[in-house]
Amino acid sequence: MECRDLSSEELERYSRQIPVIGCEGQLRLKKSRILVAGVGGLGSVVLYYLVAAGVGEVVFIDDGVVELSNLQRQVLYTTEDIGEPKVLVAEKRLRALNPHVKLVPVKATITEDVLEKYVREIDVVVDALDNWETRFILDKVAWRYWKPLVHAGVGEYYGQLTVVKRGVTSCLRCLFKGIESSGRGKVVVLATTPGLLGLLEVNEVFKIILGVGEPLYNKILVFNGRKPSLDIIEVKVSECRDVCED
Amino acid sequence: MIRVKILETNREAELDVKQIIVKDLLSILGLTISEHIVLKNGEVVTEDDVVEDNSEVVIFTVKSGG
Repeated sequence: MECRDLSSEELERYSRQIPVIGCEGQLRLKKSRILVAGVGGLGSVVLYYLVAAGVGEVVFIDDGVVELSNLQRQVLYTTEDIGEPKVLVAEKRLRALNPHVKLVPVKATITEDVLEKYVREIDVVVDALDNWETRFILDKVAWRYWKPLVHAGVGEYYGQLTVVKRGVTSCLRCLFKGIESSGRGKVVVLATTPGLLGLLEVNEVFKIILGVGEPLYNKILVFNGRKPSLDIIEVKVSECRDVCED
Repeated sequence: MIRVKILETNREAELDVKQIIVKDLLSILGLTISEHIVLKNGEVVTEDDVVEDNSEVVIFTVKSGG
């Protein structure tokens, strides 16, 4: 793969990044297909940077509309967008940002059936959801098709991040098996927390696609914005066949 | 002796017991199992698991929001 496989416009657009990842890396990004589940605080940031950096295709799923209380942290939206479907507003903003990226907005409740339509063709799945019940559905489908799943969750000043991949780690349902999966309370969070964790999710996607560095396999990054601190906790792989392979 | 580290508060504690059930450990520490992950020597454990003498326990809060 050579730089000639990129247009002159693309070479200029990515000219501050290509010296870091090479034309081969840029082409790897261009050929990648990413699914982002949820287009809220995490998803806004995840989508913005995936598209800016030049991934090939992003499928993004959310059934919500923009609300005034979203705007403090969901940076894809403006006051004028209130009441509009998030995925359609996101599509408009992202297309203006980078027309080279194929955008697939899906306005739907995230169910196993919906995910089945998209996940098998995807390279990396990103969890930008706001509840464990849907996360565990996403985990189930990603696991079924051996797709790496980048997870983050946020609240207040805190967040956690990890990457699960069948054959390498335990599944998310095993890793977080003690967590109460029901309930969807309102997200209470400082504006910067999803921004930071969303960026770290994108960084994990890039490492996986580019094949560089060490993805957070069998490690959980725990962010505490009050200290501030980042702790990396090593986690042993558990079998959990009863949980992961149902 | 069971050594416990709670990341959220950076608090460390030593419990002079031979063994304890995870839910009792969390209760002593004033924490809820539904919002915390407990690692015993690097392995995820749940509320009915037992933590034995000489174990190292790390507890951290998990958040659900996006």
